[in-house]
Amino acid sequence: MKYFIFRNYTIENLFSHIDAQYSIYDDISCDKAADIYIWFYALPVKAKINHLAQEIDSYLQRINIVLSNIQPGKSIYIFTLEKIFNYQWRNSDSDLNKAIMDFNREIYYLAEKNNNVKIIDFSDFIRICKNKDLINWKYYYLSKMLINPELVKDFQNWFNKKVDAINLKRKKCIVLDLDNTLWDGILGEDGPHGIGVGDDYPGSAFKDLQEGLLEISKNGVILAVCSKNNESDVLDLWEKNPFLILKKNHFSAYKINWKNKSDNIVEIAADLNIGLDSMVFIDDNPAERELVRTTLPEVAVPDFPLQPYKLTSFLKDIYEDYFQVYSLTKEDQDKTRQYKDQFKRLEHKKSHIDLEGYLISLNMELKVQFVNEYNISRVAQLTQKTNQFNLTTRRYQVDDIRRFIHEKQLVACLSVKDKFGDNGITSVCIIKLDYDNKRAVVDTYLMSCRILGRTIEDAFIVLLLNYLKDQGIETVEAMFLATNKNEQVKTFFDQVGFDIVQHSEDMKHYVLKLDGKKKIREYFKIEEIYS
Amino acid sequence: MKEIVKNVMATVFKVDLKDIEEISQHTIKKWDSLNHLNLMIALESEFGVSLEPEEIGAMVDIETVCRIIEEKRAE
Repeated sequence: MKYFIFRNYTIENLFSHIDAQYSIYDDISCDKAADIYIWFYALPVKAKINHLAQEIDSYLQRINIVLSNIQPGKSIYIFTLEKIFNYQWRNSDSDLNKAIMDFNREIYYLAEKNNNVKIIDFSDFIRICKNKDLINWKYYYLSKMLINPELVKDFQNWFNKKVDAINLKRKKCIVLDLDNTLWDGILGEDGPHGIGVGDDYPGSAFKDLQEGLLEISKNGVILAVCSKNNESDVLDLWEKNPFLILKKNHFSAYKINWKNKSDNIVEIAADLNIGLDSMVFIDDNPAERELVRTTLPEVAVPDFPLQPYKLTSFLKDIYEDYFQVYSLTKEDQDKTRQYKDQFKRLEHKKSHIDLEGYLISLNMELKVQFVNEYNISRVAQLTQKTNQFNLTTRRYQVDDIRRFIHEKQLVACLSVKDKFGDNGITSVCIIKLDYDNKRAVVDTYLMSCRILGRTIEDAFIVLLLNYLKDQGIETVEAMFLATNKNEQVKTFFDQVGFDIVQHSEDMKHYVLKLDGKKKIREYFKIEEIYS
Repeated sequence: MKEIVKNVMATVFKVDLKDIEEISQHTIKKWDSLNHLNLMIALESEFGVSLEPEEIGAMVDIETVCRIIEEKRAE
């Protein structure tokens, strides 16, 4: 990723961790070779305040020029303008404040209108650094550095998190201990009415923690429980204690037993069909944390505060460290429900030994459509997050997808409904088309794990191959690129009927002649929208 | 003293300085203006001193760096 940064101060040290080029101070000529642009202007240190207000107005004009100069589809991250240092000669001087507010309001408006504009809230960083000097005047005068160079590490960590949030990289699941983590006390000793959760401290702090976790789960994070307790005691408690905020139905999975926690976490990951690297484990017991840290290094294990009154800021840190998002897709908000549906489906499956009968009974509805503005962020997100059923594991940003559309490539996605619920968009296929040579190349084919094992993986590709046939395509090429997570799709294209033309340890190259159309299983209800 | 400064420099510039005789802004390519400031920040924290702009300007080779820091610490 190559960045180009528009700036009015020396900031090379702040961005030394990324591959970046810099504008001349206050200059707006664009480097066309960059992948991503950043606008990071700091409020200049000036004694003439009224000039400053005018200067801020000019930033907006410059940003608009920059926007019209960068290639469509490339992103620009705009930092909000914040007061780092300014004079105030009279308390009634409000022009500067107004200019700053106008600027910030205007860039948020730009971001609403332009999908490639993202806002980075710089006030957030200033808040983090409130105990340190933001400016080191010596370095300011020596090298036009406005931000104190001692803050470089803090800045880089903060900036990385912001970029991850924009690029939809976040963890998926919080695995929670119960005793002394979700409530004060030990259920087995204090009993269902003896544990502390409620309106008095320390129970109040635990209640606030539970409320916060509930909100987090509404924002697309899955909650699970891993606790050493008698399962029946906990089930009883969930039923009976009216002060508990988080009850059985808020958890997508729970392992309540006396086995070791690493094994339980591995099982939870398997049940939910998610990777260990997308889990965060929270436990008040340092020995349990240590065990998980050493045996499952992929799992994030933050320290737990000793004093309950620190739980509120602890929760905020957890969210910002692992789950921050720039914006949520509809699928994120539905996630907890979808994972719970998955559990019902698993139970349902157990009662249907005959697989065909089970699949028929699911009443599956498949909807194939081209990517559009409403689902483009979900499509990009799937390319970012899908590891297991992913033939090529190519990661794309929204901008890349937009470029494919612009180049008239085929970007199709699949939504799946069944009698237990709507899974939303769970599969993406990107096909590069070469009509002149009647050839097509499958660039990406992936599917979210929660709909696997229902022959949907075959149906979707067959629907698209039939579509290509209708479009006059005669030959389709495809690839399998091995990663350490996608072993399960190693022979996928072989099973669909592709022939191997080239083959090495970590790569397979296939080709398929489109002779006739293939049949789709009758238990699928199909809707195809090719427009 | 010189060894510690050398280590700080090697970390900041990300170069191996072991066999280099003359260490100055003329001989070390990575010792550019940005890294010069990074070096000053690292030295200030390593030796617990606060360098004045005039001193920072004068520190063009390892001998001067060591001399100025020693003077500072003697104050």
